[in-house]
Amino acid sequence: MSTEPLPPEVEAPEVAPAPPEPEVEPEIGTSLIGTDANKAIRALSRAARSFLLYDVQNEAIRQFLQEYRTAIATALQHGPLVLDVRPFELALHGEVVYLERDRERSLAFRLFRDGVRKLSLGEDVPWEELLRLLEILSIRFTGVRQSEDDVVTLLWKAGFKHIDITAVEGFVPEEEGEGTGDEEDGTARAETEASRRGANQIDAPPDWDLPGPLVGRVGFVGWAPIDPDELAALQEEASSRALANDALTLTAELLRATADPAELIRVDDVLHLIDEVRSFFLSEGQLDQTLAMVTLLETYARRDERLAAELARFSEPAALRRILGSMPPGATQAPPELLQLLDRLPGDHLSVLLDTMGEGQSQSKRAVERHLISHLLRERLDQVLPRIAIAPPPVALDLIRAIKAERRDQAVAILDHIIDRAEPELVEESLRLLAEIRDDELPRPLLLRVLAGPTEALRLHGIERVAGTADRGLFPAVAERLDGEAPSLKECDALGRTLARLDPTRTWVTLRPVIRPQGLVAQLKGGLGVGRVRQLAAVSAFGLLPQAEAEADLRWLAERASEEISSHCMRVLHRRRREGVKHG
Amino acid sequence: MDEVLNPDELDQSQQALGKALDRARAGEDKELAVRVRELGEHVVRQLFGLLRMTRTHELDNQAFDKPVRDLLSTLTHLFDLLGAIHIVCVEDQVYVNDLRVRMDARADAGALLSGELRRHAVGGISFHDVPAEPLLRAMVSAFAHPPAEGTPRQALKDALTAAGLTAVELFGVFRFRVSGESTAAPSTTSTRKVAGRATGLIEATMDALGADRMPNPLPLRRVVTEILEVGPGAEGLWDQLDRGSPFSAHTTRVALLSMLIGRAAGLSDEALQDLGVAAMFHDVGYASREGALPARGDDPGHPGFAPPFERHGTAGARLLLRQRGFHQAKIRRALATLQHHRDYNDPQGKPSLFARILRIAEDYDTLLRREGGGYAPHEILPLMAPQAGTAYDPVLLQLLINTLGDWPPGSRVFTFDGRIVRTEGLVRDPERFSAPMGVVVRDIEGQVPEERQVVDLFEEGILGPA
Repeated sequence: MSTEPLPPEVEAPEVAPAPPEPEVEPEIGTSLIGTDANKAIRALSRAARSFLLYDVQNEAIRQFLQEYRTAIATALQHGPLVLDVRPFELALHGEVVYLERDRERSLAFRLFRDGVRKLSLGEDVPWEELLRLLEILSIRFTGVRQSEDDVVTLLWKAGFKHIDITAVEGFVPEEEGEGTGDEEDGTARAETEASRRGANQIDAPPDWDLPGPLVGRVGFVGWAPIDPDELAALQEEASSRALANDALTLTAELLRATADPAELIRVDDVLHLIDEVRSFFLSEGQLDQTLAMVTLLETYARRDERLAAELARFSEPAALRRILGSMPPGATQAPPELLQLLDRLPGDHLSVLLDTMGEGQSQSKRAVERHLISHLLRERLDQVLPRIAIAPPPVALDLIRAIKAERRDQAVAILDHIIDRAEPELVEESLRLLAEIRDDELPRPLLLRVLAGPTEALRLHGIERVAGTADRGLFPAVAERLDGEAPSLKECDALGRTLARLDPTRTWVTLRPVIRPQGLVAQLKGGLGVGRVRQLAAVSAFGLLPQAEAEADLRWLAERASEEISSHCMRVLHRRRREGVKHG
Repeated sequence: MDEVLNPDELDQSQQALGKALDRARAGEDKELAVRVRELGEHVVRQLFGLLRMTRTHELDNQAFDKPVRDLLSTLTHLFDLLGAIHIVCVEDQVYVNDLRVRMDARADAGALLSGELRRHAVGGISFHDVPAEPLLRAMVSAFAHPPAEGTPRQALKDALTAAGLTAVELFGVFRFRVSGESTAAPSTTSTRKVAGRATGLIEATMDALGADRMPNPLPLRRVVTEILEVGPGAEGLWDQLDRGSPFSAHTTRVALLSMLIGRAAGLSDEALQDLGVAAMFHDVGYASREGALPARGDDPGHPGFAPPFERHGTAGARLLLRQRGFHQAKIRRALATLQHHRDYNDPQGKPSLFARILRIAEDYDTLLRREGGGYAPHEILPLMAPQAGTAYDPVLLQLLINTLGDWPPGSRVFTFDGRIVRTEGLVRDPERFSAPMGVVVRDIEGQVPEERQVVDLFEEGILGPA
């Protein structure tokens, strides 16, 4: 028997490190049919156990589903799969086709423990039934509190047409340990059960359910047809769609009973139910029922702090996450019931929401989050804005959209928090905001931050805005940029021209030594040792200065400087003529 | 079948699975298994540690104080997560609620605990409640004693019961046949055995719930499934019930009647199964005890009293809710137990579907009881009919009428030739509403027939009630 090497790890999309693959059972089978059956069963077992490691939406699950499908289809090409179920193995016509002795991992053990002794898959079994079989086995593998059903009862409920089982009649797992582990027939089972009534025999009182129903006159009894609509209504009551209502009714009636001193039921007896029903409502997105439950608890919470604590749990991050996770695909905003719920519940929902943003990539979840933020931030803008500065770009953008939806006058405030961010999406947003903000609305300090922005696009916009102010007081801030390291020619050009526009005289005095240094040695060096940015900007500035010597100085530099500077000088001279700069 | 799923099929499959698993595991998060494992490991170490300490210290030694408190704390945490705690030792492995506890191989506590339990022929322990500290010490003490000769596990069970540890259950050493040994072929379902199992399980359930154990619906669900397989109207089911106690027979009959109504209403198999289980549990409130006093020293205490009629519904719901985990069946079962004596037109609102069905089934069977009126089967439905729309759901009552007919199973009638027949069958069709199948119980001479004689009363005709 060889052990198949582990397949490469599948990378999980979640933030947490990828969990290990489900461990692989031994590859066995001597015949071709046996080998194929083994592969199919192992694929089924691995898929069923994978839900212990992965969320259902994980990409790895898709792979396991495909493997399951492929392996089963191959095995069924040989005909129906009729498997004998033994404690730790499955056999096909006497050949062992599956073996796993670890009780926790073993598919055979799970089946055997639940009383299954034969499992048959018809060769025409449809994928829907195979999927349902996988679902049933997954539930038995992964559920920790599963005391309601076993494989036999689940399979019976499924009503398969192409999957059949043979189960031990009256099998009760606990009794297997009573003796040798041999199976007992039903008679012995009944005797065993009867023998359990020893010292702790509990009987109903002799007057149970008495007095009986009141009866008086006799009525007529005869066969009568039943309206199909009435039958349909009964069936609807028994369907899972009515479950939420039943759960709420049960909770309400039990809470009412806890207030009755004659009843022995107490709040402690109901707390777990409240927790379970709340989880159910939140997972299913049953907002109406959740609201109703909140109303119910509010009534009782006033007299019992444990119920007040249960009410408060509706405001927990986990609760909000579940609600958001239950939003239907395509949802574009939060349902009114959710807004009502948040308005009713105590707690800082905005903080919780800000903390949960960014979890998961669902578009509908993001849309709902934006809507909720808009709803909650009215007086809480100061809490939201700082988040924009540090949130991941998609979250930051969602927050911005939420704020803009509710408060259109916040462009400056938003810009103030994102102007220093270099991520392309946020730079783009910054530029959009700048386009909306008038010059007179843009505070100087913020304008200077734009000027010093993390990307050229922002800095160019800042330079242009500064030029438009015609404010000589901004000359130093612009001049400071000349000490930067790697701005492009375009940016240097813009800086120089802006300086010239702001204050031509000061530009002439400040930058002439850059174009035409004083002193013989400096002149012989021809501008060597002057910073590139400063020199390029100076050339550009000189293109706009009215001084008569400006052109001569540019020509002088062009004859002595590097190729880049020299070319720029010629371009500027050409532009100067084209723009018709007149001597002052 | 194609070997490859296209992307849409994969998406749909994944979605369908996701929804189903979320529902089935509602209330369980992925971390639950991790926490259970961790706590399970603590329980194993702590329990084994305590048992080993008994070799060198008396139980009243202060050295036991902290270890006992630690074990108590761990059990409390686990109980809070799981409800009932089931510890099973198999060879050197220990499982807590089917999760294997990963023990440090060097410490080998799993194998050692297994060995300690095996001395008493015990392979597993279930805690249906967390024992108080004195009781936990008593449990440790009982395990520490040398195993009794002959039936060590039974002796240990008796010792635990005597100490008041009714919420602790012991199981034998688990052994499964390995490959190669013969396996007895499972028999086809026998209606008589099913009936016996049903009444036996109800009695066992009452005992367990009365001993503060967790509700365990699974065995009852299995027997309900078997009943649904053979059909709730199957002959052998009805005439075997009196082998059990009157209460268990009543409960089983109510379950059979409920499933008949449910089937006639066209409920799904899943709903029928849930209804059957709900019916099996509907009167468990009578297993609870009000005013019970524990034994203390020479004072034997008092077992308490079963709740009165008006409180047994709430008492039953309270017992059923000890089972942890959200499940559709549990919710509907608890609600039905709570409401099953309520009128259809109750001012608080119409009771749930299961409750309305149980009400009809319950009242039918109670009117059969001597204490409830002792009416003959054929007299009951005419007595119930005037209350359709007030006490009873009119549609559900009519469904039962359509199913049982003029001569419900158990009715005794004269044929025209003077034989007495006990009816056994249900209504086959509207034309034979008043003429089911039956068995002769007295022949023309008034004697009990030597062999079973089945008659079709549609052929024979009915003179009147016997």
